[in-house]
Amino acid sequence: MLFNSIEFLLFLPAVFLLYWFVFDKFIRKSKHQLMLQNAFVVVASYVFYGWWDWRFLVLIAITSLCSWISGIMMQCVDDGKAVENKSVARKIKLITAVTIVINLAILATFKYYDFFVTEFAKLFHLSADGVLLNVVLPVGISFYTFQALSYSIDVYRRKIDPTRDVIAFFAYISFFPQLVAGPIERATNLLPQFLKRREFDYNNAVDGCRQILWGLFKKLVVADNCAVVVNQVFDDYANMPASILLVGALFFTFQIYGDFSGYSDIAIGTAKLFGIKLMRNFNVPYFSRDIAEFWRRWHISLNTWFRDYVYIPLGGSRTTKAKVIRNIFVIFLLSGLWHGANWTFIVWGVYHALLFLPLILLGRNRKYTNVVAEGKLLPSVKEICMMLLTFVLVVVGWIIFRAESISDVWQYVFGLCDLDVFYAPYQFFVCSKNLVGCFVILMLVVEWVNRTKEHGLDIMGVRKWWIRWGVYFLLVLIIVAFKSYDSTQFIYFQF
Amino acid sequence: MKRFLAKILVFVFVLLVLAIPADIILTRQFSDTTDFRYAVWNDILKGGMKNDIVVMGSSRSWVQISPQILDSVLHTNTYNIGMDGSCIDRQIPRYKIYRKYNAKPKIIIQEVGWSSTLQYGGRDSYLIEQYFPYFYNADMREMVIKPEGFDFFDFWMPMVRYVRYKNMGQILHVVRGLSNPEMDVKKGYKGIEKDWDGSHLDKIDSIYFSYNESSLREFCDYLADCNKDSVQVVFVYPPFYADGTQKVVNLTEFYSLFDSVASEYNVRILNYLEDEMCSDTAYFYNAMHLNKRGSEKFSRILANDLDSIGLIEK
Repeated sequence: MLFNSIEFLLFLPAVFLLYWFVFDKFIRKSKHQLMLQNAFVVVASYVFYGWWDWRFLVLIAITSLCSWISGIMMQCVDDGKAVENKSVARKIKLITAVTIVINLAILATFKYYDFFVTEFAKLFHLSADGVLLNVVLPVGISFYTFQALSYSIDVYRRKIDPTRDVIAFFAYISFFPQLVAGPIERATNLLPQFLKRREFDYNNAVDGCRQILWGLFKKLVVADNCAVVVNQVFDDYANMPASILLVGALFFTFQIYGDFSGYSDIAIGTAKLFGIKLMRNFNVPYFSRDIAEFWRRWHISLNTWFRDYVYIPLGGSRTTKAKVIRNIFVIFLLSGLWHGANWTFIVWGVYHALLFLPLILLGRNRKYTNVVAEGKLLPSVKEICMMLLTFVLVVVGWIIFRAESISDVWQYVFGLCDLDVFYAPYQFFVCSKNLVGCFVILMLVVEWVNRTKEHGLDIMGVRKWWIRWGVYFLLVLIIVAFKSYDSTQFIYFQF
Repeated sequence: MKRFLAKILVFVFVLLVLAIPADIILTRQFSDTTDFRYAVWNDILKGGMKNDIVVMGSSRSWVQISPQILDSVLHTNTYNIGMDGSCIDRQIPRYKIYRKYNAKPKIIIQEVGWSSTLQYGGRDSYLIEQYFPYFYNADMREMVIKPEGFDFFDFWMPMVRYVRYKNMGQILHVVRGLSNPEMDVKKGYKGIEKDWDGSHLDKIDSIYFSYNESSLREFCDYLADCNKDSVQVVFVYPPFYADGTQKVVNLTEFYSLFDSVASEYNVRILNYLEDEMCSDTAYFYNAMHLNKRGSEKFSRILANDLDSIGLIEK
């Protein structure tokens, strides 16, 4: 079920009303109230996911069950003295390892098996026919697998107690707002919220609605309209002049941001309606002053996941320079590979690793941890230059990310290196296409103004109610009037 | 919670209050237009037409067969209900509505081509906006619109259909275009004044005739109904630019299928695929469509042929 579908427009209010009025109010006196409410979350989430393909529900159930059982087993083995008792520690390690292997095996089978077999066969001039699985990639498999892994690792590290509440655990893995495209939640943040009664909070719910509205604007108006132009350009890039290629690359930069951050906004906003607080996933990444800052602001839930579960265990930046270089390459390669089984994603990861490396080796990777031009209306000239440079580097990365193959990347980039890149592509901006640029600017201006807030439409502080309502109606009008009818699926579903 | 729900209800209520008049105003915009997408539907639904001949088909009937010329030669009343971009799955429901609101024709000229018996319908298909103004008409809903796959929300929520498959910008673009004389049709026909452009044909290596089983069944049922209704159907294969016809790899299959259908349902066939017009680009604006000059010449030839085979009672 898509967030931008009529089905979801019905599903959300129905689930909301049942959640608060049936499974909270009417059965409040029941000692099973929390369990029933969580069970309802699981059922609703499975309906939401099963709308695509009910067969893949089995995979989520297996992933959830494995991780939950591993937690219980660790608890049974652990007598509280695992640190001292080597044999107990070994058993816990083994359980964790087996859980990680099972989860990763499911992910690898569905996502990477065909890619690696094909590449291996190519390398040794063999035929891959007959051994390929040709299976459909289950929607959001990378997201919920990483969420399940986070639980197992955190239990192993004793950051969280394993839960015996299987229903709460299933709700944690399958919570529908973030099930298919994140944010990838940590057990330490989300699971405890399912273990206690949720209270309805008016301000939180209203803010959730605002965030949903803003997410819909970014997805339907910005991303989907950009997608029309982007698909046109990337599908026929060999016959496009450099100026159009530049437009295509820029529009894809905003498409992927509008699409993914839009989804995250809708997910976080929806979760707020249910009294659940999800982590922030995007924090105005295109206003970053260097690549390190960009990666602290882009897909935060995935990047912090790799930081906490891969980078730091490998030694992070507090080790020898050679190991730091290795660690950086490992996390960026994994990050690339996480996005899909294609060389373009791997090269995209390497490209960002190369951009990140000088910063970390010079110890400048944490230079910009605050918001740009904090407390000021506009940035300084230096800040503008730095943001532009970072933006250009990111755009080049997105060309690699969007291209079908590495040879396409080269041809696209070579195509850009032409003098006619400076000619304005007038012929391209006909009919409503010229409005796409206006929507992108509108999105950037609004996010710039609210860059210190939780999301672009965080206007709780605006005192006059009619201004707030005016903004809501204006946004609804813009969405209705200018949404692209070529509405596409959210890009990140495929990951 | 009550405060939250109350505000959401107020918000939705205000949206609805704005959507209902917007829907009515927008729908009215389409009711009195000569634009090809709506004018024919409007004429059909106004009812009371008594046409001797009805021309049916896709754009290859809409822009190629002039009722005025047929009437001038045959001294009949003719109306062209050809639908741009349509196959038989859309053409037959339009005829059924025509039949419900208007008198039975004596003859149906059915344009037939390689794609006639395919399926092109559906909510996301070409020119879906032609149905939007007629959702309030129960016959249109049941016979034409529902088969396209529209759902409850499209039918009963104001403005949903206008914003779900198009955006308002596109709909307003259509509304602005309603007064564009280039889009006007008269008795369903529009001669297109364009010169030859063969660029599309150049890109095509081959054309493969195929058909959809259920469309073919629907087509046969419709022919059977016409027989029962004593309506004489004539299949017309209009001119197709010769280089294009040569690219049809299984032309014999096309002929054999429609020959057998025609013989089963007592249908006459008039074939213009080998007419001398077909090798002259002066009559076409692309490989599959005659321009105004070509359509007028073809309409005259067709009228004379219909006259000579004696189907028209004088």
